[in-house]
Amino acid sequence: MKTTLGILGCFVVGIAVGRWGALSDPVIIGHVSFAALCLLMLCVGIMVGSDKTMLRQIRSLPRLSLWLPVCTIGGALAGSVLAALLVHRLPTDGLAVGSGLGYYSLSSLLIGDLRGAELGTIALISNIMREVITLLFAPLLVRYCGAFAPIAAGGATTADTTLPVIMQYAGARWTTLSVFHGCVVDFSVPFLVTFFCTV
Amino acid sequence: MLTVFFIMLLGVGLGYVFGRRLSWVRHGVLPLIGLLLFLLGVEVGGDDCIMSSWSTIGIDAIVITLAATGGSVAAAWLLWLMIYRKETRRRREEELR
Repeated sequence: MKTTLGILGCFVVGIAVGRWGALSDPVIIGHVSFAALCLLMLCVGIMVGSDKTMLRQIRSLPRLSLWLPVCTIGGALAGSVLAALLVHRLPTDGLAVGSGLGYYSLSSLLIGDLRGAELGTIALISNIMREVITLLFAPLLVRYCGAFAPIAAGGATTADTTLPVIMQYAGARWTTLSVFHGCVVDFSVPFLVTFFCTV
Repeated sequence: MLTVFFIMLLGVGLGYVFGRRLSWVRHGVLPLIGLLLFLLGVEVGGDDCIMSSWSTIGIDAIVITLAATGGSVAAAWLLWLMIYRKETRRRREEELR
């Protein structure tokens, strides 16, 4: 939660600076943004590639449960299209925001860069809310929709920030599934977001 | 935007080959995210059009969040029911034996 607040703080300070007009050259901002984004994606790629423990964890899971990341992504995309139509936006706008799956930092930055600051801001708010919903409503989700529900709601965060809550309410039995789910969804976010931003 | 995609794939390859020797890169992720969100904020703050439509942006974000999270939960619930039914059936069969 401390990290989330810190990240949100950077965004709020940025808004204040932008409003004040201290950094007003969009060309320089664009160049610095793109260079930092490339560096960030390289770091994310290195982190994904160096994690070799996932294969060992997958083998210990019930086979059918391995479909959970597909359900999470499919359900989110279906819901996002409906939501986009409801708020009179392009379906691809909804798909780009929805495919962030709680990975608010990376998805909002990619969307901000590819589809403009407005949709990037929507993605940031939306994906932070997804994490908060999981943290607050995990007990209710388990009670009414089963142990997989908070894992699906947590999206890309289930291998780290929402893992303790999931372990507590869904049960330690599903910890490996939660980590596996988080890794798969986490890995899919940059690909899905980039794809839906460019179609 | 394919550049970003290929840079990530390059990172996956580097991470796979060099593994733990590149584990220090994780310390750079958070400052980079902070910098990028700061710059996104600067862009948002300097755009009068976005600043005057905060309520619309907020409502759109809430609707998309609820629908996307709801969709994921509904699909996961169906999978949970499938697994639960399968397990119950297996236990019954074991009891009958």
